[in-house]
Amino acid sequence: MLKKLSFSNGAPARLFYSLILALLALTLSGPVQAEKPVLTIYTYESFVSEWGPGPKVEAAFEAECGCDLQFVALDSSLGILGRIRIEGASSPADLVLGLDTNVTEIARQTGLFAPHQLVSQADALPGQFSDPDFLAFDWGVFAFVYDRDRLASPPDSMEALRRAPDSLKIVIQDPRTATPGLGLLLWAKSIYGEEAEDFWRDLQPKIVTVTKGWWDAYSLFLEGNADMVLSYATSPAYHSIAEGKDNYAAAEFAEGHYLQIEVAGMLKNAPQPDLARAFLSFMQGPVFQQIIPTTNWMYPVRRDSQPAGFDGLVMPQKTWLFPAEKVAAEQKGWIAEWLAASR
Amino acid sequence: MAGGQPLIPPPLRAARLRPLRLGLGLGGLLLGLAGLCIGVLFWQGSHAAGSLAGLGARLEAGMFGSEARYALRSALLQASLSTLLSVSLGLWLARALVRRGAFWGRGLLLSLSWLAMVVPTSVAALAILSVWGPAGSVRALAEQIGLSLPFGQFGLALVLLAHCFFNVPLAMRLGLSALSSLPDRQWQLAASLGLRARDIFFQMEWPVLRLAAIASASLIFLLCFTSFALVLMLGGGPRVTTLEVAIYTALRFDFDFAAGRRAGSVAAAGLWRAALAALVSARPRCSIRGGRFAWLAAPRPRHGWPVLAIGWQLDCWVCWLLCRFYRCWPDRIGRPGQSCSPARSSGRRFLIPPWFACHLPLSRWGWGLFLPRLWCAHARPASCWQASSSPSVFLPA
Repeated sequence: MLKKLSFSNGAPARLFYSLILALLALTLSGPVQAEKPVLTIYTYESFVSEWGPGPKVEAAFEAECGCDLQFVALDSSLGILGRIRIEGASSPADLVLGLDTNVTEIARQTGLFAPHQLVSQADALPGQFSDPDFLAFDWGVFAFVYDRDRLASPPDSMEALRRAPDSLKIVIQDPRTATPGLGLLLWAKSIYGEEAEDFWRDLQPKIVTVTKGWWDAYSLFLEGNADMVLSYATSPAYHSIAEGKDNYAAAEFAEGHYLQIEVAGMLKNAPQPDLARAFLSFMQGPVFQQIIPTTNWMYPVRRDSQPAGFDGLVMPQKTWLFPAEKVAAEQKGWIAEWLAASR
Repeated sequence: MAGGQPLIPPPLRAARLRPLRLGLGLGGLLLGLAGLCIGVLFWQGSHAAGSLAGLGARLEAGMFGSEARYALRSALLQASLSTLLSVSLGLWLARALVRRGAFWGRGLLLSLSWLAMVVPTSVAALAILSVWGPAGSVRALAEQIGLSLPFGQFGLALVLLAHCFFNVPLAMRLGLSALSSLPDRQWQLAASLGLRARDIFFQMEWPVLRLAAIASASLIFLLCFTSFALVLMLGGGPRVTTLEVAIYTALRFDFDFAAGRRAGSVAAAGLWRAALAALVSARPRCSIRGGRFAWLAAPRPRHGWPVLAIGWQLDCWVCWLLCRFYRCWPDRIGRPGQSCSPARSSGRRFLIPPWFACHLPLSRWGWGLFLPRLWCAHARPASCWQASSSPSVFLPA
């Protein structure tokens, strides 16, 4: 058939078929030709963006491991967890980077993670954190960010925010879809306990909108749709260091701030377990830690890697953090409470 | 009206009767279905403690959680308001366009109305925000002249605005095509009789607009009921939601397949049955023999193997559909520590489809109710193959 066709159509047809055959051969032989072992890491999108830590981390680690480091960008830490759950034991990922302590217990319950068997090098965390399955790589606290030019006197406590006039507009994220949203839910729960539902009711008139992700909320704030946005205490550092703007600041709250510790963990069925462990060691080393502050805009976990230019930032005296087990056990009820107050 | 005679000649009226009945049937089914859903939900709420407690509680736990119930209520309210606004505004505009006749830029205006329908929803949402939103230009302008707009804050008002942006042009186009079907002779007659605008509306325009209203209302209701991106971006939080958004958030938030399934069941129960009802209600069209476009219909097999082969093709398709559902059946992926990974389910994956494939042809007559085409092919092979390929299922006008 092939012969007949090529005869009837002449040289162009022959060229066409040989091209197709060559392409097929290339496609089939592609994976076989790969020499370096591939380390696959699932992380969130902003980590691998061109201004994020991803490209620098990739170059630095590949220089010492002789491997091919491939990041797979997913939309958020909740997205990473979801992907791991869908793929289960057959996941091609070796490592997961970017979960936080609020979801580590939920992640552990999937039974897909393996102990890292490493000693934690984190000495700059504002509290004790040790976990057999996960290692911290950066941390920060949630805070409301405002523009000094638009808001002269921001509330100085959660209670002041709650009692502020309704003309003060804030934008927050949905705790079911965004990490900071869940952070605020836990923050309010830490401060108000059983009365958290009343807090949410009082806050309702001030909430312009509840977005599904951090960036949606932050861009709405930058465009002037709200006076304050739920973000991180380190967010103003981005504006001052990268943009040279000093008008953005985080409001320090008297009750203290809720802590977020970002962690990485390796999967039980990792195709490259040794490389995964090597990356976890590298992640705790000074090279990785010095990349983090001005690319991921979070605090490094090592004392010897503290960045310049972070000095003027809000550094709360008191931080809150629920044990991961408690978050895993209670979050459904707490979210239902928030939903009831938000409708 | 002179002598009480209708302006519309009898043959024209008879021709309209069919789509009218179809449209009415479809609209009625949709409304009935929505009512049934709500009825079931409230019935459960009030009878859970009664003699049917076991069944009620099981249904409550298995299908309708409070979140899904809220989402359904919110979606029904939002979709009804959106439909009402879009259809009334759209038909009003269509009438205005017809009354205005030809003018410079009419074609451009109509093209722009198509453009509104193909703009990606998230782009439109951003555009609407920048114009009508809290920091939008319209609000800024209104504030400068001392006005405070009642809408523009995130929430139902903004969602309705966005839905109108998409659906008013749709209703307008449908209304326009309905009004264009009025023959010139009728306009001339109305002019020579000196009819007032009100009489023209009720005697000439409304009978055709009614059909367009039913058609556009059923379509727009479905579109708004299942709206996702607009509600997610402009709804302002959990207060305004739809079943799609509820499913999304439930699945995002710690992969709660049970909650997703609850909302999904309500959505599926509502929309699948509405779709099936639409198909089933389209069946009477099967009996139309010939018709203007009969010569366009593809030649079709009437007897023997070809008929059976077509039946089997449809069976395979149904099989494939059902297998998709089976693959993501929440009982299997909802368990902690278990996943929907292909490796885990490969055994069953290969076993189940053949089972379906053997089973389906045996219950062909049962399935016939749900697959009108199949039913038609067996029952009246000569008359009705082209029936449900007509777009008039949704657009009776």
